[in-house]
Amino acid sequence: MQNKVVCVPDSPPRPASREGSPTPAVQAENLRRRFGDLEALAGVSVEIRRGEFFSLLGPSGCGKTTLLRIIAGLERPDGGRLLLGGRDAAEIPAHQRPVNTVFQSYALFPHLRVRDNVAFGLRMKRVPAGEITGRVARIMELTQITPFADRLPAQLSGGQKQRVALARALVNEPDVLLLDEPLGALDLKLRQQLQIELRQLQRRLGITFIFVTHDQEEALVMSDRIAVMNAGLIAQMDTVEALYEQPRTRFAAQFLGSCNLIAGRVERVRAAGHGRDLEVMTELGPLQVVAAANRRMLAVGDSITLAIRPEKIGLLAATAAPGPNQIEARVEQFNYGGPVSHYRVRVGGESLSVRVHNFGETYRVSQADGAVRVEFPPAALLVLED
Amino acid sequence: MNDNTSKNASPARPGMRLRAGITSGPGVIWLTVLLLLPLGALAVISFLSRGDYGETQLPFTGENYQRLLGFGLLGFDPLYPVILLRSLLLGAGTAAACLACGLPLAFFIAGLAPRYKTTALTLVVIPFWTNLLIRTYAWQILLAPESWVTRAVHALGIGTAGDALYPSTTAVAIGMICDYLPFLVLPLYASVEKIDWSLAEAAMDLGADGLRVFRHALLPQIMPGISAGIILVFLPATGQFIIPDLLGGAKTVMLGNAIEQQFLQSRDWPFGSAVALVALALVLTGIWIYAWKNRGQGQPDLL
Repeated sequence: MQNKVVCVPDSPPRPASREGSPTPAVQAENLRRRFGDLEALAGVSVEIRRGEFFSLLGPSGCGKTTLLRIIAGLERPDGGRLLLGGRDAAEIPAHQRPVNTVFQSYALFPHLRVRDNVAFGLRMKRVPAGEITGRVARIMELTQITPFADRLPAQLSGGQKQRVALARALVNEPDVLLLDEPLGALDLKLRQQLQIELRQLQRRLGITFIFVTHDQEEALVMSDRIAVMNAGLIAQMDTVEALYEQPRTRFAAQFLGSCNLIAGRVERVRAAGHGRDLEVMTELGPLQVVAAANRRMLAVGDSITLAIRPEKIGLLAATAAPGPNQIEARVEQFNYGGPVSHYRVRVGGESLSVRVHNFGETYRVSQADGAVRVEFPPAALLVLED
Repeated sequence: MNDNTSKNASPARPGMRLRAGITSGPGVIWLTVLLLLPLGALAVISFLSRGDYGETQLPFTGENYQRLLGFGLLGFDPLYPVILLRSLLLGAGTAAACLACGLPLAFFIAGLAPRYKTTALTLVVIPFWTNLLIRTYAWQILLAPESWVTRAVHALGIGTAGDALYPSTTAVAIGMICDYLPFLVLPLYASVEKIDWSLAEAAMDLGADGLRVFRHALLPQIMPGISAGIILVFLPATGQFIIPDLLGGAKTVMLGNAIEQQFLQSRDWPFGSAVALVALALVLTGIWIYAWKNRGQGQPDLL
């Protein structure tokens, strides 16, 4: 612990050598937790690498906070195993875990000044007073709370409280920092600013962050990897990009960003270099699909669900020259949204959401009587697993 | 408290001030007639002298206070300082004992399922339904030589069989705790009920073990309840003399019966007033020091 010095603001970024080191920061194996009738965790396994910014994303009640509390030691699992840095966490009581938490409510001690709130953890560990002063001053500088050092929590704004809560946890130089929706109570502007600051701070300190949020945009902006949780299970765990570009389940597709789902039946399967080319019969008409090779095997006659992001659908004037995967459609609704425009278009019996950047041709499409053509790029159509 | 009232009063328009005057009128009159005037009379009388027939008369003198401090006609006699000290000790001791019993009790009740809480609180309050004297006599019966309580205690090898358990200091302690516990438990329970347990989790998360979680995360939150409870117990317990009388044997003079004696038996109103005022001053000073030491800890001022 001692040699892990908190960097001063201008020091070079910490080398990424901690990433991919042999023992993961946190390993959960088949964790279960039940509260009465509610199964908060129904067998969750994750492996969180050292130095990683890992987000647990899901709607409220999906079990993400329970998982966080189990890692912190504030909750006991009913079953399964948790390893912290390779050590079985069942043997480590909460107050001895190399883990600190930024609570959703901040949970600052109302009777202590900011300075003493930040120093709390070090005092509990009986760090010498001289060292405490130095470390507290450094972390307050880093989190920009030095000007309020002598205030009581009641005299701080939400954003300031958030920084104090962060400083109070980080000053202990934990192996893992747990953040339970820390930005939830802040207004949008401040939230966006703190998202970036948190991300930079995490990079600089190299501490593993586990970030719980129900805000998918927040998770996208900040994380290295995201576990999307639903009903006590991990629906999908992947890098941010893979999760957005290649969602595997309906839940993941619709929770992270928005997605159009199209039901269909496989008509033809042809192996190709990069995967398989499919021809799928849908309510919109026949569509060509490129399926990734690592996905489940598909046979002719299988019922499948296709997903496509609104911004991947091409919108063309009705008069444009026809091409593959293009279908006649009619604009039902148009909302001008500054840089992007949102359309609802009716294709066959389905209503699809389309998002188009506002430059050139596309904007004028809405001016006509609504007749357009939509284009589905074959690689943008994803075959979901459920 | 002062801050609040000045904040509220400053933007008040005349109409509001009138309304405030009318609504607070009965309370103000009550306090003036029944508290301030008698207190003022007491203060004046304490500087007068006793006449031959127990009447109060001039000249003004500070003799009563001298006598109270022990410097009487017959040289130094610590009788009254000792009585004062004994009463303060009784008050402080009762408050401490009630706190020791009340703290676990308050947490226990707060932890009960909601439907049992009311029952538990009612049980705490039930002693109030009977008169103090009756309760104290009841203890005499329970602690009498032939009662089952006494026999059980003797069976444990404590004391001599056939003896009553009172008069004794233990009996006084039992009587005092039973009488004053509710005064401490109720305000304490109110603040235990409001505890923000996430602070306990935060403390644990930051490396505090059980005892230090209580010390640093819980205790500051229930301090208002503890202060209120201690004051509510300490004030009346200091003036208490019935319980020490009935359960401790009538050998010791307490503050309460010292004052009563001066007013009724000795008919020395000036001296009785001096004793009462000094006792009041001592108690208020104690509370003031307590409040001053705990100032700015986010608790409501009690003074």
